[in-house]
Amino acid sequence: MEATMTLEDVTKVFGHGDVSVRAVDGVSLTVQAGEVVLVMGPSGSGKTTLLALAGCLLRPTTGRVWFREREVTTLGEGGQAALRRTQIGFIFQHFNLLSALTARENVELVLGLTGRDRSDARRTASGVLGELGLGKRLDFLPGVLSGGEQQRVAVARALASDPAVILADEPTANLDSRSGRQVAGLLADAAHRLGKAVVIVSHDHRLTTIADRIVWMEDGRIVPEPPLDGRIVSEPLLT
Amino acid sequence: MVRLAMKMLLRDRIRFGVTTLGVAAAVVLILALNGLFSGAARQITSYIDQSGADLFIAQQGVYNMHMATSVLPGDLAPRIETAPGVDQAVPMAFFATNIEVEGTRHLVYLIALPPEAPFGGAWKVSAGKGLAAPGEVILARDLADKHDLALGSRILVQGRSLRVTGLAEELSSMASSFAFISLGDAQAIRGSGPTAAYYLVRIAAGADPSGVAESIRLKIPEVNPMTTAELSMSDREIGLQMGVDVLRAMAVAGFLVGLAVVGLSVYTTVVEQLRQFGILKAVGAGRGHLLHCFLLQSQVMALAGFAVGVVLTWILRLAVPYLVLGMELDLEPAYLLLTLGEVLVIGALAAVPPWLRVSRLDPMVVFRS
Ligand SMILES: Nc1ncnc2c1ncn2[C@@H]1O[C@H](COP(=O)(O)OP(=O)(O)OP(=O)(O)O)[C@@H](O)[C@H]1O
Ligand SMILES: [Mg+2]
Repeated sequence: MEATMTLEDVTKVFGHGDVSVRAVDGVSLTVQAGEVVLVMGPSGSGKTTLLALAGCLLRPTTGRVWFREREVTTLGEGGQAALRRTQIGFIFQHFNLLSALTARENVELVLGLTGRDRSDARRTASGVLGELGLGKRLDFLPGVLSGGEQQRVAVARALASDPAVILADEPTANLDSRSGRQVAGLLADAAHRLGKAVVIVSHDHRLTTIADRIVWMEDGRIVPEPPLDGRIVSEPLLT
Repeated sequence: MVRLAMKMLLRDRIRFGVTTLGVAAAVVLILALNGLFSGAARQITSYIDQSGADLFIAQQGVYNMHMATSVLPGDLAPRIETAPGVDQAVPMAFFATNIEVEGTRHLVYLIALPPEAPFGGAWKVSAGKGLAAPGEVILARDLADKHDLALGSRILVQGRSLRVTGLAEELSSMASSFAFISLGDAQAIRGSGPTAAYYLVRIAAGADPSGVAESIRLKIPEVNPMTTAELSMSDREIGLQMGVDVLRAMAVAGFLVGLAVVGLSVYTTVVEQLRQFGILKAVGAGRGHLLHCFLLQSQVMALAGFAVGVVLTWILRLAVPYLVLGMELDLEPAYLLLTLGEVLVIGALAAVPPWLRVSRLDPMVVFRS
């Protein structure tokens, strides 16, 4: 299998001196095409920071990030933005749809950013949303969609431009269990059927069933096993 | 991106409306002021343009009718008429004075012609005659109306009582008006003896005005013959010059007002929706995409303001003659284009502050609630 996303001894320090926080501390991680990597760990252990580093939303203090054979840490702001819009699809806990745009327009917009012409973007957006069961919600604004529907629109937006990597931060945390299962299924499908490298950060235990690999984090480091106090495992599945 | 930019812009329709009106007000300010000066400048030259003369002859070194004094002998007409191509020459005196009507003074440019002059009198007579005999005066009809003067009324011109025997249109402008008296009365009022200020010349059919002017210059070196177009242009420039500094100041003021209004509006629109731009950045919108978005927003606001401003100025143009006696407002295409250019620059500059703000925005906001 091909290594799609590689983090090489990556450290992220926020702040300076006494108030500095070592949010990610010397992490190395490789994600292959077609696999789901689930990152788990207690609150504040650096999971979101790790995801942002992988997604070129943050620059590491030290260490390097690679997309396929290309080092992305050396890219300028414009180069990183281009990589995000073409190769990385994001899914967030708070959906983050553009509130002024309908479901279809949200998806069309990211296609437009990559230079797709309008009618093509429109067709693709309708197609992807239709596959995710949102064919009847195309012209709805996010404000009138349920949480589960909004997150499926977000998944559609992440998948629409056919990126190699999907990065999801707590994608099921704000969803009821049925919607959570649905989104989990979509993410598994993205990896196993569409061959994307999928990284999911979550506390949600249900997601372990779709994970090919689970990475445990504690205090910014990857640890070989779940933290001994068992916080993760005993946490309620839904919040 | 176009759709997103427009939907974000129109999210707050009241703000959009107020901004449009703000820009429109600045545009009206710029256009109307220029239009008024231009209208006034046109009125200044109305006599020159309507006199029916092909050439005007002034004293050597005099190039204007307004803001200039020309004195010529009163008996030059026969000499002028010997120049090749000249058909007829008519002496004319021209001076500014006050006339008193019902105790209020009015600035009047008096045009004095011989009672038998074949042309050069009022060109749009609405009552009575267009040319004054001794003891008579032809007035602007709107001035007469305002003071209940009619044919037969008497007015005082520098202590001399004259009888109104004609009323004519298109003689008044914002601050002054033209009136016609006889050349003899003018010479008596001024104590100037048998002199004239200018000669109005008609050329023979088919003759070339500049050529005839040249032949007069050769024959009578102490005069300055000009074609009507030349004199008109030169007087118009004087009229405009008086307003140029004010116009420039107003154009700058209007520009700054427009820029402030659009800039603030786009900026607050963007800052209120900062998270949305964080999302855009996270999903890969680059600086170019963002600039495109802000440019669209600010240009749409600026151009909407321009359109409304032009319409308002147009309405004002129709209303002005009824609001102020003798005032006219011109909408010059060239100045319209200039103002449009100014508005486009406003639209471009107003996009910069939100762009800088969003460029500094950390896309990590997408991970927070
Ligand atoms: N911009 C920042 N400035 C300073 N400290 C930060 C910043 N972002 C994160 N941190 C700190 O880094 C650490 C890791 O944060 P991170 O959000 O990555 O944790 P997390 O594992 O995602 O937690 P949670 O499960 O609660 O989402 C925390 O201690 C956090 O307070
Ligand atoms: Mg987190």
